Amino acid sequence: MKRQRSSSSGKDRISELTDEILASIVSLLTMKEAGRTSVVSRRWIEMWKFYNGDLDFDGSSTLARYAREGNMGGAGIAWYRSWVDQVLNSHKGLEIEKFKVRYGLEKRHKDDIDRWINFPSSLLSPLAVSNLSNLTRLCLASVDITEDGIAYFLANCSSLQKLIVRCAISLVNLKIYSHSLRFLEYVLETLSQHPLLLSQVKILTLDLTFMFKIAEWARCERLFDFRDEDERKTWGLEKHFQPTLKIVEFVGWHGLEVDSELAMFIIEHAVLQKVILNPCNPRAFEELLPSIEAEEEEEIGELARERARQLGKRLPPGVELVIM
Amino acid sequence: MASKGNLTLKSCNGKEFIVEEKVAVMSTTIKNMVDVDDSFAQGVIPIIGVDGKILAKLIEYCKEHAEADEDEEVKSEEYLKKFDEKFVDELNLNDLYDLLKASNYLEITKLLNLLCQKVASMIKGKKPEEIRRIFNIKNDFTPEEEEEINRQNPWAF
Repeated sequence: MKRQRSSSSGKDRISELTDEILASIVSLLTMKEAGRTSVVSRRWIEMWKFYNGDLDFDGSSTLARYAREGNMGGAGIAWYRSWVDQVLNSHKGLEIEKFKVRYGLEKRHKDDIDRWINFPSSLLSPLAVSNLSNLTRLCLASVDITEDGIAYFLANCSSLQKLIVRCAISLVNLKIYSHSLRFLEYVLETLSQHPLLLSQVKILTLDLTFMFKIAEWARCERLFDFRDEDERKTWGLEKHFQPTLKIVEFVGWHGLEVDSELAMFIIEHAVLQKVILNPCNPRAFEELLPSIEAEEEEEIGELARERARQLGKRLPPGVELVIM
Repeated sequence: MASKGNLTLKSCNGKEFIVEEKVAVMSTTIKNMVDVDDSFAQGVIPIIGVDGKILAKLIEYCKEHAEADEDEEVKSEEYLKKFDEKFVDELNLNDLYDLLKASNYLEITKLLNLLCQKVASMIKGKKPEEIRRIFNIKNDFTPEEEEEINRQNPWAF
């Protein structure tokens, strides 16, 4: 391998490249690294403004630091707000692939969030400021969103194809009426969250991590009986699966009775083509059993797979079973 | 003159290369020239602003990729990945800049992306001072201006 030589002439040839080339180089970096190039020279500060990589405002490590220092008040949010505003204000990129905001934000920060959300949408669709009609993927994690909030997004995001909802404490019913949506990932975390109304969704991913947790804590394998008609009515699970739903993936499948019951219920009530049982969910092991050995993890996974094979025998004909 | 199916490319310093058409049209610019004007396909295509050394490099790259596009068996994805790695690894800074300019002008998108990736990988994880040193970039900010930028972008450092 030849060593990279710094050019012997000592001439700054890189800055002679066209704006287009330099901006695409800067856009290949993470936002943090790209921001760092802005201090290099006057030419580079201009290039940074055209950064079109992912705008990732993940403030979780700063949030954690403020929390450790016992300073959850104004300083942290002021810092976070100025970070997002400063970057967005100087930004001149024409398109944004991904825009992520992650911080401890509350209702009183509504105006900030509105301002930030309107920023990318006005860029994505300059003719329709304040709408999200070009948004194709939306992930709401630990966002305290309600049914109405979801409905608002679905009504305004006419191009939305993938929706991920995780840890939404106030979300009791998830009703999906969208003509564009094709993928839904929904993390079950409380038992009251079951009624699922899906209109066009073809692939549904259910994350069972939290159900597994609840089952473990309660030291029981049976949480509620899907086979009992009254109980099903109470949970409102009947008749909610549309014929468009073709593939269901269970992430964090452990083969507990409750897992099997939920799976069988969906399989029996939806006309599925494929069921994916995925026992591997590192997150589940991390949160639940932090000291777990690799061997033990393998053992749990194997047990889950064996239980999955058992379930496979009960599947109606025509349904393909994939065990991960 | 090139035989049928071949094109003649001429560098700015007069060096001529006879290449298969499928190799030459990896460049969208050349493809457009040939498509629009049949005389280019018969005669010599001048490649303005690109010298023989750089043109040879471009042809080397396009040849591998054109062959891989034609037959995945012989040149697998893995083979191409290794070829690409070696290709950019052996470039010195001046060649890297010349190839960036040339692949941009000739619209060889795959190569342009590869070269941009290479430069980005050289910037990754470096402090501003190191970036300046690697690429010979002159710091044209006054100390006050630099301090102001640092103050405005604390998240980046």
